[in-house]
Amino acid sequence: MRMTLATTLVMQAIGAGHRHGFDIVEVTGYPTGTVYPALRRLERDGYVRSRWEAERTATRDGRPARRYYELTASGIKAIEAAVDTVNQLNAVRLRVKHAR
Amino acid sequence: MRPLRIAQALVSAVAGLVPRWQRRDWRQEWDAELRHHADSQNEPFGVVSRSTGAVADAVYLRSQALQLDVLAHDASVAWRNAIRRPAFTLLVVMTLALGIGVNSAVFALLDGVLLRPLPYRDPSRLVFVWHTLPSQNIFEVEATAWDYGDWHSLRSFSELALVSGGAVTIGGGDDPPERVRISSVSASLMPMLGIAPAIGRGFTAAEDTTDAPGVVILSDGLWRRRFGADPNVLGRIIQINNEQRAIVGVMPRGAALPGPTGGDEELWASAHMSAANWANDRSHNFVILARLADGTPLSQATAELEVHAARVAAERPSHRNVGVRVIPITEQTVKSARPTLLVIAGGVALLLLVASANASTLLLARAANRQHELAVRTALGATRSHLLSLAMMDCLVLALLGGLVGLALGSWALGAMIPLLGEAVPKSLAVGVDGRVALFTAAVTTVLGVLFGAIVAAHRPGQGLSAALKSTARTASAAAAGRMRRALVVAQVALAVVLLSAAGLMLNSVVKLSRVNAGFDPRQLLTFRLALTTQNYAAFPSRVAFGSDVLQRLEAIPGVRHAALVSSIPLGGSRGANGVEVEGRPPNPNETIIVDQRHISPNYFQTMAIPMVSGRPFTATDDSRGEQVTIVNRAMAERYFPNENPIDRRVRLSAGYDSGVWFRIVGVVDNVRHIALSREAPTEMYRPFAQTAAGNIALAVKTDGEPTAIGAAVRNAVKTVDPNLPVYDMRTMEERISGSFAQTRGTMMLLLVTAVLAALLSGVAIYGSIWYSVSQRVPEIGVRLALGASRASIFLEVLRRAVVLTGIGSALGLAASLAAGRLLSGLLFQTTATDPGTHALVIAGTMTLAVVAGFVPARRATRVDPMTALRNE
Repeated sequence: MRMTLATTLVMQAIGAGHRHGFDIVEVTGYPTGTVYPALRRLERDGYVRSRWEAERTATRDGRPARRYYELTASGIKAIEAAVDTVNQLNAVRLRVKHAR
Repeated sequence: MRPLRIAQALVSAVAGLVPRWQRRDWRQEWDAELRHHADSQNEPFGVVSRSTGAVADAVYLRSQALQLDVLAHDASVAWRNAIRRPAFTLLVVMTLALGIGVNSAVFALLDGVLLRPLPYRDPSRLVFVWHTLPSQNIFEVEATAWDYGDWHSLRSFSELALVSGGAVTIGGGDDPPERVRISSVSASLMPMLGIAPAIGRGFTAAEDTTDAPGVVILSDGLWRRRFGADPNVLGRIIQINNEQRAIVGVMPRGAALPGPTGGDEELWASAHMSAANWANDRSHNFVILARLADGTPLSQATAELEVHAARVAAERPSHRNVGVRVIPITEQTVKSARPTLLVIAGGVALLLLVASANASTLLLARAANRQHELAVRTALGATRSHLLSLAMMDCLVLALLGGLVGLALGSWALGAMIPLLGEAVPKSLAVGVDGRVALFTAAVTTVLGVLFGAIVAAHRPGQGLSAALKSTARTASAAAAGRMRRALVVAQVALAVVLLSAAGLMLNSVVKLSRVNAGFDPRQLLTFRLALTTQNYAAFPSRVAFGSDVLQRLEAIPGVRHAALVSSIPLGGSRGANGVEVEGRPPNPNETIIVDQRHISPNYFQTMAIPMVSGRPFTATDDSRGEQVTIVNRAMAERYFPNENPIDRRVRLSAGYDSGVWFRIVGVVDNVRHIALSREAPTEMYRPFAQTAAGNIALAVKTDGEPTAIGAAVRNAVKTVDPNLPVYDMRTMEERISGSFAQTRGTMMLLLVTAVLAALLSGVAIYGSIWYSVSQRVPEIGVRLALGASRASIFLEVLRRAVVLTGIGSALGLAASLAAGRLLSGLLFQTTATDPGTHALVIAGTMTLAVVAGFVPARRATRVDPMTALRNE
């Protein structure tokens, strides 16, 4: 799967504990029209999985049950690789800066 | 309208785009998020803005589903295509099923025998430890009980176990006595292998010695057969030969010892040996298994053992000239099977290639016929990629059907193959069609489907619509497809020639084996075995008396010409050998004389028609009161008495109960291939049964007519002498001979069937290719006939095409056979892999096939009517 900046950020948000759609929208700053298709793709390719919140918890909080997303093992591996790449890019950028 | 309502209305409006099976969850997810957002945020129209994302989300999910829909649609079109042309589908499916089926069956064999780890704890560290006699060219001799104790001092082995196999007569209860295989094992064996009884317990260290009573564990088979699967069998007593032993356990189904002969055990007994037996350093009767210590590689264990063995050889006369060898159990269990299985796997893989090439030819021909249909589809707007996906799906559906039928065929073929292969499939291994075989079949099927799709797609017409719609147009891509078809035919012929050559060479070997002179006349000979091990035969005279009594009764049966007794029958699978010293010749420290021992009744040579070379046969006076005598075979006379007359020389055994007694050589008899037809006769000594009275005996009965006809009379004769003595292993001598090369014959049969199928498929391919080219050239043939060409010249030209294609294929196949011949050479007998006769015959056969396959299309070409052909053009 092609890792775009949006998918990387969505995965990072999930990894950081933001587990439902609008929460991810909130934290990444991307519109819902970007976040939701990214979530579908990630789920199709096995990087995230989803499950429904227990009805009891939702009723207690006085709202309908939400769909929660979490990273799978291959999702964790993919996000680590993506972060590595970003760090390498950062290092290159710093070197370029110093060279100037 | 409140903002939440607007947002919810938008979601409802686009929900119809979401595939039905995802719709409910999708709506619920959006609804929950929107409601919570509306409740918790203060921006009134924020919720509406968020809801717009539902459009992109729904469109995305629809586009995903569309891809699946297209695939499902293509699959249904492909399926309809398949059933619309049942004859074509049947032909392709059966061709593929044939190739896939035999490959699935052979994969099941390879997987069960060669690929899976043996069913023991950490089997890669388990080894067999053998003695060797390098001076005799013998590299697997059983060790002594003393060695077992001695080898415990080696650091390379963390565990050691001892096994001694044999056969016993079991009795007790109402069932008749029965002869069964037994393995006496040390208590360390089961923990070392990681196996344990399913009921009861294993053996204790005390049971290795005579300090504790001897006990036995039943195999699952014996427990069910003789004890009716009684769960309270523990503690019951079973009579084994003349001993009573308590049953302490029942092994699980399928539990077996490693090694090529493992799997036959009906009884597992505790070693139960006296201190004297444990100290015996002369009786080489024990198979030793060991586990390599952690971190010790095989090479290090071998090195340590060799150094140790050299020291022992210098210190102990019994171990002079004795070497050692360590073999991993996996190697030992499957080594005899590996060459056979690999040759068969190679054979069926070639058949799969032939079948695939054949199916490709058929699919290409059909694709050529469907040019018109494809052009119409293009005209109606089908894209190139969609046409490709359709072609791929067409081929996948056919391959899948082929795979399904192939799996069923494979399961049946496996059942037929196992008995043909005899000992190549050790009984201790489970072989069957299971999930792994199904997975293999699925993988082969998918690869083939994709491959066919790619071949067909690569030869799709790429030209303009009008050319494609014009059905008689001949284009560059049609020419390329034609070249591809011819190349496939050549490849099939080449592969068929490789298979036919291999089968021909094996057939040659089998014919030569069946014509080997075994050294005796096997015709009209019935053989069977008896074991004089019960209390009644503990004394020497009782065994001798039994021998002469039973021979007399056998000879009294009408239709019996002679009856004789021998301690081990030729090709019976057992042999006994011993060290020998020659009188007046000081023992040579570098050469131990090892000679096979056989104990016979006086008329043995007459019954078996083994010619005397010199001296005399045994007589009735060669008994315990007379001088100890022996007759040697020609091999022994030539090897140990070259240029001298062995008659009247004396020899003695260096170990055993009668070691030290001198035997006078009274005769020399011709050689007999006792071990295998393919192996030269060993050096042998025959001794009179009346002087040795061996406990395990075989009887040979020469008859006037069909030997099996007297089977019942023979059993009755033995019963009259002793009703408690089981007659076992009753077979005619011809059956024994034929069984002795069953594995070679089985390999030959499998290769022959594979080769004939490949040849038939190639014949069909030649026929199809020539027929197709004639159909394409009808107008051209018409013109030539109109211009005055004779029909005979047209006939010959078409036939020439078939012969040329086959000739190229045969030449390539011959080159490949000669190059790959050495892979087969280990399985051949008196036949070289380059045997010119076999190869010439194969080429002649293939060329005949070409003429036969080309005949019908050639005749069709001669019947072309020039007027009709030209009018159609």
